[in-house]
Amino acid sequence: MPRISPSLIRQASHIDQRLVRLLPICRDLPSARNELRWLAEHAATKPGNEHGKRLLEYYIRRRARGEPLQYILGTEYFGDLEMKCRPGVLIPRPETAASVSHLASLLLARQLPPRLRVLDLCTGTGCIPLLLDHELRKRFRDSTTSAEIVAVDISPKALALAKENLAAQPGAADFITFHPADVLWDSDTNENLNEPPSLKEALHARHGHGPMRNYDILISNPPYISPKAFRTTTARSVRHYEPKLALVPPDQRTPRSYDGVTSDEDDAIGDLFYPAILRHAQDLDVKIMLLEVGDLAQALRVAGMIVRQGIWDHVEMWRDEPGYPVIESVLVDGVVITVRGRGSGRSVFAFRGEGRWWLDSDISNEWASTPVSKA
Amino acid sequence: MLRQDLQATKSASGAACSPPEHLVSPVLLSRARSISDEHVTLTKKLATDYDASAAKRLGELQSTSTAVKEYDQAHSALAELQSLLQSSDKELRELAEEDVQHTEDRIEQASSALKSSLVPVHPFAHLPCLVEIRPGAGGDEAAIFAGDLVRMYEAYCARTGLRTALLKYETAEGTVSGGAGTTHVQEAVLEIDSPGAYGILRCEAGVHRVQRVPATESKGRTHTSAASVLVLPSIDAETSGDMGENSFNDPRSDYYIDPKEVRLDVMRASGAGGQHVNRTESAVRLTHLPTNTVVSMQETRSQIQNREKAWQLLRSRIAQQRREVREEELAVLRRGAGAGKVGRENKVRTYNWGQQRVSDHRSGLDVRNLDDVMEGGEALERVMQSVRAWMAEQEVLGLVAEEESIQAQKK
Ligand SMILES: C[S@@+](CC[C@H](N)C(=O)[O-])C[C@H]1O[C@@H](n2cnc3c(N)ncnc32)[C@H](O)[C@@H]1O
Repeated sequence: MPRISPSLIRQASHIDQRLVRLLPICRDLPSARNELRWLAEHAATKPGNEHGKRLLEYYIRRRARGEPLQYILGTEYFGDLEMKCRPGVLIPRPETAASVSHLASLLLARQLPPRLRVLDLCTGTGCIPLLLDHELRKRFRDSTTSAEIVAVDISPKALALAKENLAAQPGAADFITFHPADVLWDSDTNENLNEPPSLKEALHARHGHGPMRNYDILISNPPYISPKAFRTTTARSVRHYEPKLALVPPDQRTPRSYDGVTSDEDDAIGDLFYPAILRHAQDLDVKIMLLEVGDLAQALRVAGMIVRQGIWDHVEMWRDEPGYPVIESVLVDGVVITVRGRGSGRSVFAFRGEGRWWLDSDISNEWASTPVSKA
Repeated sequence: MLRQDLQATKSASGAACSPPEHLVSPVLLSRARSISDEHVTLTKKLATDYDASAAKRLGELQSTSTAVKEYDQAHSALAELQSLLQSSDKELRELAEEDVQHTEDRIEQASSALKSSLVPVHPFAHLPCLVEIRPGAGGDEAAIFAGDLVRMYEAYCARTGLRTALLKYETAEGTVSGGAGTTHVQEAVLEIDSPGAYGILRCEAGVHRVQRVPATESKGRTHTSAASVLVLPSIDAETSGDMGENSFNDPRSDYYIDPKEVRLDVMRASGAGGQHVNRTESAVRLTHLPTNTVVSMQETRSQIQNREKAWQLLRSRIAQQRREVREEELAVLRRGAGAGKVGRENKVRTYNWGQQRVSDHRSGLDVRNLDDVMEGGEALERVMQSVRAWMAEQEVLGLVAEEESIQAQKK
C-alpha cells in the first residue's frame, strides 16, 4: 500500500493529532475526520461520560491497529437497516445490500405466489434475509403476498448474532427463521450428530420429513476468496480481523499436493461453493437465483457453470450498482449474457420457468429477446 | 392631535427600537386607503351598471376595505375615550378607563387584519426550511463567525421550540484551532423541520458582517469579515404529498427534479470490493446535470441516509434557483420603487463586538445587547421582527410599483 504523503500528514497534524494516527488505516483526510467523529459520538453514548476521553483514546488505538470500525462501533448499515456486528462474523458489505435491494425492486407483488419461499445460504449476520424481508414488506404493503425466508449458516457465532439481529427488527420474526447447516455436505441423513447437519437434513428438520419442499428464490453470498487472493489482494484489516471461515472455502483437493497450487486449482478452491449451491437450486426447484461473486472473472466462471447446468432460461451478471443504466454483454460458452450496471462484477443472476413472470415485465421482455440456450 | 399623542406614547414605550408590531406604517396605511377609495368608487359604479370584472375586483378589495373601516372606527373610539378621560366627571372617567384596554386590543386586531389583507403571505411561509451558512471574506475569522451563527440559530430555535438538526457540518481543513469553543465552519446546513420555519427565518438570508478583534489577532486590531446565510424552504418525502403543487413528484413544482437528470456517485475508492475489503466510506454525491449543481453528503455512516439528505438539499437548492430566476423579472419592476433586493450578495446586518451592537441595515434597527442576540435570545427576535415588518412593507411597495407599471402599459 502506498505511503501516506508527508504533506497530508502535516495537514492532519495541524487539525488534530488523532487524525494522524487514523490516516494510515483511513488513507485520506475526509475519511479520517468522519471516523474520528463517529468514534467520538460512539464514546459519548456510553454511560459514565468522565471516561469518554479515555474510551475514545482506546477506540482510536484499536482502529489505528487495523481493527474494522464496525467491530468497534458494534454495527454496520445495510441498506435501510442497521445490523449488529461482532468479531467472528463477517461484516456486511454495501455491495451485497445493493444487489439484494435491486432484486427486491424487480419482483412484482401481483404476480408472485401468495407465500413466496426464499432460501439464503451462508447468512452470516442475517443481513440478506432481514433486508429482503424489509424491502418486500414495503413492496407488498397493498397485497396479500408475503415471503417466508429460511436462512442457514455453519457458524454458531453467526447464527447467534443473526438471531439477535432478527429480534431487533419489528415483525421480522414472523417471516424469517435461522438454522445450522453445512451447505457443502450433500447428504440426506445426518450420520455424524456432532457436525452441523447437511442442508437437506436441516430443511427436513424445519418442515418435517416427507417429500422435500421447494423454494422459489435462492440467494447466497458464500465464501469466495481463493487462497492466493486471500494472501495477496485481501485487505490486511479483513485478513487479520474477519473470520477466514466466512471468506475462503476449505481446500478439499485429494490428494492434497503441497508443492504449490496452480492458478486453475486456486480458482477452483475460490469457486468451491457454487457447484454445491447449483445442485441445491436444482433439487429444490428454485426459480430465481442470485449469487454474489468476487469479481468479473469469477462471475464469468459461475455464469459458465449456470449455462452448462442447462436448466436456466436466462442468466445475467450484475456489477456493484446493478440499477445504473448501463448494459453490456459478453459471450459465455457460446451464449450472450447481459452485464448490468457499474462497478466491479458483483453477482450472477438467473431465472427459469414461472420465475420470468414474477419479474418486472420491461426487463423480462428485454430478457425474452435473448433466451439462454446452449447453441 | 390626540391620535398623534397616542402614537408618541406608544413608540416611547416601545423603546428606541422598532415600531411595535401593531402599528401600521404610513406606506401600508396609504396603500390601504387608496384600495378603500377604489372600493367606494367601484361600489357606486356597480350600483348603476353591472360589470363582471369590476365585481370580481370589488371582491378582492373587500377585505382591505373592511379592515380600514374597522381600523378607523377603533381609532376614533379611542380618541373619544381620550377626551372622556379629560372629563371632570369622575364616573365618566372611570367608565372610559375601563374601556381603554378593550379599545387598544381592538386597534391591535384591526391593524394586523389590515396588514395581512395587504401583504400577500409568502407561498412557502408554511414550510420547514434549511439554513445554509458559509464563511465569506475574512479567512479564519469568517469561518469562526460562521460557526457562531450556526450556534446562534440553534439556540434561537431551541428557545422558540423549533426542531433542528444539523444536516451538514463541515469544518475547515488545515486551520489552526482558535480558543475554546471556536470552530472553523466551512459549510453548515441546519435543517429546521417545524412547519412555518421558512416564514420565520426567511428574513435572515443575506450577508452577515462581523467587526471584532479575532482570537488569532495579536496586535489587537479590529477586523471586518462576513458570512453568508441562505434560507431555503424545504420539503421532504413525507410532507411532499400534502403540498399540492409544491410536491416534488409534480413536474410543475419548483421542487420537481427528473431523476434521470441527476447523477449519483457513491464516493468509494475504485478497485475490488465485496469480501476482499471492508470500507467505511458512506459519502454520496449528487450532480444535477442541467445546472451542474453538486451536493455531497457524508454526515452519517448510512449511505441511504446520506443519499436522502443529499436529495433534500439538492431539491431545495434547485427550487431556490428557479424562484430566483422568476423573481428577478419582478424585482426589476420593483427596484424602481426603492424596494431592496433580499439577495445573497447584500449585506443585511452587522455585528459589532467593540460597541456590543447589532444593526440591521434593512429595518435600520440597532440593538445594544449583542450577547443576547448571539445566544438567540429576545434581542434577536426583536431584530428579526423588525426585518419581517420591513419585508412586508417592501412587498407592498413592490405591489404598488407593479400595478403602476401595468397601468402605464395599458395607457
Ligand atoms: C461471506 S460470509 C457471508 C455472510 C452474509 N451472507 C453477508 O452477506 O454478509 C459467508 C458465510 O458462510 C458461512 N459458511 C462458511 N462455510 C459454510 C458451510 N460449509 N455451510 C454453510 N455456511 C458456511 C460463514 O460462517 C459465513 O457466515
